[in-house]
Amino acid sequence: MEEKEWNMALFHKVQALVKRHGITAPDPNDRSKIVCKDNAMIDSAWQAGIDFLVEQGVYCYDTRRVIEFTEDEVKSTIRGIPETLVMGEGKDAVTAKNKHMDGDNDPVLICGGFHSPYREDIAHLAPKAFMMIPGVDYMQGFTLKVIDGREIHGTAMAAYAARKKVRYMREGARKAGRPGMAICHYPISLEAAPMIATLDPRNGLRPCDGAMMTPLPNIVVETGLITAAIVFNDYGLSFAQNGNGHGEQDSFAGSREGYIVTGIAKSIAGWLIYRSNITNMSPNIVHEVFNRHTNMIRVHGLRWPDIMRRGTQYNERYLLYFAQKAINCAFTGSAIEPSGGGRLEGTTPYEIEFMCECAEAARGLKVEDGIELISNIKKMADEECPAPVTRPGGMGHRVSRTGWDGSLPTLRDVYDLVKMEPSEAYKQEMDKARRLVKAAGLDIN
Amino acid sequence: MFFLIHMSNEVLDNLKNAVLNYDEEAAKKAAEEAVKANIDPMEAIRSLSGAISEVGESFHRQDIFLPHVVMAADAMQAAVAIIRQSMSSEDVKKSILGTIVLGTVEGDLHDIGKNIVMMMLVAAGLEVIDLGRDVKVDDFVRRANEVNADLIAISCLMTTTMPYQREVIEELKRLNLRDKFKVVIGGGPVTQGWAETIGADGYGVDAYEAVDVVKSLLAK
Repeated sequence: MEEKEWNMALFHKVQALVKRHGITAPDPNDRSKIVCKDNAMIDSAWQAGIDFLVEQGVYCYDTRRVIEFTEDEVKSTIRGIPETLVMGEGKDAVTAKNKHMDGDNDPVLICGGFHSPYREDIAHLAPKAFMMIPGVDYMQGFTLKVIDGREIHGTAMAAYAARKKVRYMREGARKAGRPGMAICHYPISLEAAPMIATLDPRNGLRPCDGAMMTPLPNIVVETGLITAAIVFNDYGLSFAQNGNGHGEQDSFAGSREGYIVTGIAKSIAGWLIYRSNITNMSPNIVHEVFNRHTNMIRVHGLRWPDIMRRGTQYNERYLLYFAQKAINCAFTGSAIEPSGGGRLEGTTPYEIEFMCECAEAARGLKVEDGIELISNIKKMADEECPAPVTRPGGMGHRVSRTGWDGSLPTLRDVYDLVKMEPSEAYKQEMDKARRLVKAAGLDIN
Repeated sequence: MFFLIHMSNEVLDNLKNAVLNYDEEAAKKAAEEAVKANIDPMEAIRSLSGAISEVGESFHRQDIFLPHVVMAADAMQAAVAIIRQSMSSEDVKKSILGTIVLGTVEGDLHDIGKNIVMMMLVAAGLEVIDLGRDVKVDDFVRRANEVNADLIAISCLMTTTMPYQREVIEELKRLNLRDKFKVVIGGGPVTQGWAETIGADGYGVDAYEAVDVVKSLLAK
């Protein structure tokens, strides 16, 4: 089957499933509908996601074949998602699990950052600075465009760069005094060889580590990552994270209701094919579906208009975005992944520290209280530090607009990685942000 | 006379509505009617282009989703294929603004942006040969030569696959074909600066801009 045929078949199947299961998508601007309280709707959506996989399957783009599953296969595989998983080793190990959505008081699982491009000259400094933050449980890697002064190009160079990047991460963990901290490999290339090349108990990925393994938005997988997944499974890699990057409109779901079905199917497919047991999820009801039906560890929290967009300047509004993100994850039982969104050397350890503090303070909050708190922060931010320029919206990935090439400020402008401290000006921005977060109702000291 | 004009308008409306309703079969039927009624083929194609521009604008406003754009583009292409059968080869040539070979570079599997650009280019009346994703450097060059393309459009989403955009240009230079094809690049990490660095002729920050860039390059 050609991929275009798959895409359109996906669209028609999804629309049929929406009709069959009577799925409705709430108005995203209705705050009372941020969380779906209708269990029958949640169960219908779940079944629609399973039906998709059983009736349509998953497409493999390079073999142009459809991978088919029976309902028993899908359901028994979902039951195999572990209730807990141990990331890292020794004193630095953490036990990760799916937290419940409402008022769960367990600690928030926190990834310390990266998932963005870095330049080589600070690749040896950055991991340590982030990994020393006490609240950080594990770290995602970064990408490099240049290694040893040479542009990374081709499979062999990508394999070398991937190995060296993970080595920087392992070394950073050692320097931070947390050698057992888990690392999630962020791919430099999606080919099998550079992925597999990272496996190395001494300086690369250990069985207690993980990797980003993400099906494409149109529920498509490819042989390179399948091969890597098989090898990782054989090696005993502890976890994989499904990044699930996509937009609602530019997917082939065809409607907001359809996007619920593909959101569920894609997150299940990540586990079925790549063994991804940590998953970034959207839209909101997908969180509730997985919370109710699986042990999958969910990432990123809910979305609604009060969640501010990540800014591009290091100021109090930028910090408030991180506070919102932490609170959102804490009260929805989600793990925190402060991904850099493609921006070159964007996030600093200062935001991560702040986020860890906010997440701890918001732990155990009820959903309604969390929504209220986030709304308060948004109101205060709009009153006291409105966004000067709205980031361009629209379809598709806009990595270039987030400044991967250094066209935006980088952490070097506001944070000294050697002294491991922020600039005086940035400290003042933090003072303002902390004041607003406290005034909004979060108990941070 | 009035009857003929009325009929002509009705057929043109049918063509337009078929695209706006994403209906390939209706588009084919309307195209056959247009041929039968001896409607000026260029006028028929203009009607289709107007319709698909409306579809593109709806997508840009986020009123509709990607599958609708695909279906509208399919309907338009099916109708155009029928209408062109009634045209002389000279007129067919005139009706095509240009031929573009487009794809996502080797090692890169991300093609949503490329697909959107493709549909916008089709909507703009360009002939687009979509090579898909994970396209080797040689294949860009070979296919452009085969179809005598005017322009090569190269997409990528990963910083580590960007160098392949440069390689296509280098390969064209090596084969003394650089002047034969305009080269436009795009994709998530791509910037105007990168386009200038590697010697591309143009860069579009999004699908809309890509179409403008392509049109202006082809007009030169």
